[in-house]
Amino acid sequence: MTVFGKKGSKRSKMRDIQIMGQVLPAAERLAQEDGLEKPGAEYLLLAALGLDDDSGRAAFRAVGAEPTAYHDAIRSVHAEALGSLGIDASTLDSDIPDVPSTPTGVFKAEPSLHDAFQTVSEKVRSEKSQLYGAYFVETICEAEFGTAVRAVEAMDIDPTLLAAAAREQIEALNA
Amino acid sequence: MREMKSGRLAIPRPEATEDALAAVVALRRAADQLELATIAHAIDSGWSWAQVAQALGVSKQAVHKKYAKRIGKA
Repeated sequence: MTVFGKKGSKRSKMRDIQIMGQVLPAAERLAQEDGLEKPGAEYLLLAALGLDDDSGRAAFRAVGAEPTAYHDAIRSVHAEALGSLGIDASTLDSDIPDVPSTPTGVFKAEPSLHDAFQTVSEKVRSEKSQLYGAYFVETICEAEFGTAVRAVEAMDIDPTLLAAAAREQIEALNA
Repeated sequence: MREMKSGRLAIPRPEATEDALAAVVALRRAADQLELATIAHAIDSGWSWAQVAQALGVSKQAVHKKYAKRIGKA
């Protein structure tokens, strides 16, 4: 997976690499803490919302939403889906063993994460921009289906509006 | 969801396809969580990896490779 623009400065490239070095392991750790083997796109966004760069969180706040609520929204999407089948998800969540998450060495993720990551990388490269958390927000919100965007909708957020708010963050940072 | 002709499996109505696919994703996730929790419990309770593998119908190597690190028993 390539991340940064060919014409970016060395410092910019190093910063992007550092961000990816934070966000991918964080996505893996967050998924493992939820009892999952591999992170999907929803965990990529969740990890991006934990970056030092505030742009992703700022996009959520700009549409009147609290970014820290996204994790619960992921759980609620799954709980609601299981509920429609008559399964109580809370009984499963309570049994997830509390074990230290251990990086497997080779980063493995669901295809949804790879797709989102690739889209973010292409945007950063084509816009000759630095990598910001808002790129992850915008990209997730452009998806039509999937857990990541359903969780956004579960927060009563219009993904189109959140994507626009993320774009504003990116443009402000690149101005 | 509506019943298939066999009467054993249900498929979604066209208007509920997105919700039904979300339910499939949630079921996979729940199965992952249940498998992890159950294997961790079994190993903590003294089951061997071979016994767990036999009960799951998979190889010992496969179950150990997938879960030993994840439950801190590598």
